[in-house]
Amino acid sequence: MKKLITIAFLFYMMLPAMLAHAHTGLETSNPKEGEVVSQQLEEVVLTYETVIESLSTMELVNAKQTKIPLNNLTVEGNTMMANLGQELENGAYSINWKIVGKDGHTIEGKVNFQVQLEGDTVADEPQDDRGQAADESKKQDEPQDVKAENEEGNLFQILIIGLAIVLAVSFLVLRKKK
Amino acid sequence: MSIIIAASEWLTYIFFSLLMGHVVLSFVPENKKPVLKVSKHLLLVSSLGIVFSTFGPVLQVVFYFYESVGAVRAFYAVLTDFQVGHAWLVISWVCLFMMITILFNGSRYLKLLWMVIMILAVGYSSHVASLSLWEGWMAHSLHFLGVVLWAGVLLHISWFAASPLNWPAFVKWFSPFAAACMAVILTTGFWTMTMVVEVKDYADSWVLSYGQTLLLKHIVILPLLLIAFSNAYLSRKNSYNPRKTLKAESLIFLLTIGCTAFLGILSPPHDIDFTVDSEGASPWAEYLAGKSIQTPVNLSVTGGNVWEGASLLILGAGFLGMLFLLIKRDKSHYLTVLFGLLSIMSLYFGLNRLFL
Repeated sequence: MKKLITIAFLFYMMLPAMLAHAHTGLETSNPKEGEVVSQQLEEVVLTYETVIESLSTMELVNAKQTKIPLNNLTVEGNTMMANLGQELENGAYSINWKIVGKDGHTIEGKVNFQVQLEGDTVADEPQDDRGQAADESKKQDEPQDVKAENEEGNLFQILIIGLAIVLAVSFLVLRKKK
Repeated sequence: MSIIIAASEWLTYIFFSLLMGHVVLSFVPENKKPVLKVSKHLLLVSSLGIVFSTFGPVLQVVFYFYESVGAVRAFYAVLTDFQVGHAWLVISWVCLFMMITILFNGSRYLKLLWMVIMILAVGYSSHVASLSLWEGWMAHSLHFLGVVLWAGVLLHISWFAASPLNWPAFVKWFSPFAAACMAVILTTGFWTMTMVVEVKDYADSWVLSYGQTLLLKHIVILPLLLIAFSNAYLSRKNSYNPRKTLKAESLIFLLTIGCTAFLGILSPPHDIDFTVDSEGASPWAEYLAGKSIQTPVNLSVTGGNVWEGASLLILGAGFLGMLFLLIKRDKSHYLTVLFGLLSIMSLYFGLNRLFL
């Protein structure tokens, strides 16, 4: 038994070393996350940490979440690339990717970048109108939320009281039979 | 549809446990275990059942793609390109061999070999093996092996034992065996979890259905461990009859693998904020929080209602204490399961109330 415990303990000590990062994440990309692109972008290349399935896809959207067409989407080994169908105007963009693992699970992620062509003056849209939208919906939701919170609170209080009674009664019953 | 796939995964674990229990117990001498009344039909049905139940994940991928490429091409792609497809082909063949071996009362070593191949195939088709082939394959196979070894013996002994029961001789080897399996299960379970959810993101993942289910699974394991330890502790007395406790333990086990099966049909979170932005938080988590969940998600102990959360956690601990008392008093296993459920409920709502 002592031996077993020693072995288990050693295994535990070794565990952190074995916990390598095994996420099928994005390794690198062109453009990179947060990059400010100053020359006309012709293609998008995403490189992953592992080989990805041919059924993987990506899409390019601008700050207003409008899709921008991508041509010749190809998946090869651990890279996925596509050509841009049109020139990009200045502004914020994101690439939303969705890859399929060998086990059939999908993994999603995004790369945000900005286009700031040389010579152009700053005509940027606010970077993140998703945040604004979320704020707006938050404002709309607020009155309902307060109400929901109250109902919730009552529900949990009733639950707590009920469970406490069950616990107390059952404890008394079981203790008596000693 | 998803529910059918989850149910098929749940059945997969049960079938594997039944077969593995049969194989393991065939290596135990007669005087160290109860007499087991297991019909050959049950074992044959389990082997055949695996062929159908492991087809669930294959079907899931086919359904995911059949609209874009058509059912036939999707089916072909899954069988040839995907690890789930490969694993299913291997498992189907091996199940056939297993059925033949059982039918003709073949060697137990042969049965063990079929089991090991099938467990490796399940590990190969796992989500973590698709993330990092060798590491994930090894971790998931070991995890699955630990589970079916322990649960297999548990299911057979609690539901099919007949006299002579030989309890003292059985418990003597089963307690350390179960403890060793548990050590492997918990270690490899933690290992596979960190491949999907980083430890620092663990609480944050609760805003997604996957995180909620994972949390529930971990909470369900608590009463399971408590029952197992009470059993080991009390069984040192010779007069102790572990049957009821083992039955309760096996019922809670069925609940645990239910959570696991449900995890299988949910998308694992790799970027929590992104998932909340694109798909929204889990409606159930938002209901528990009593408010809509915004990004960036950053949950902490004081994020919710501290008073209610703490009360529920204390109640949960109280129910766990009652669980031990019930086992000590040798009460019905249904009562033990009921109090196990009450402790799970208190702890689950308590943690959610505290953080969300």
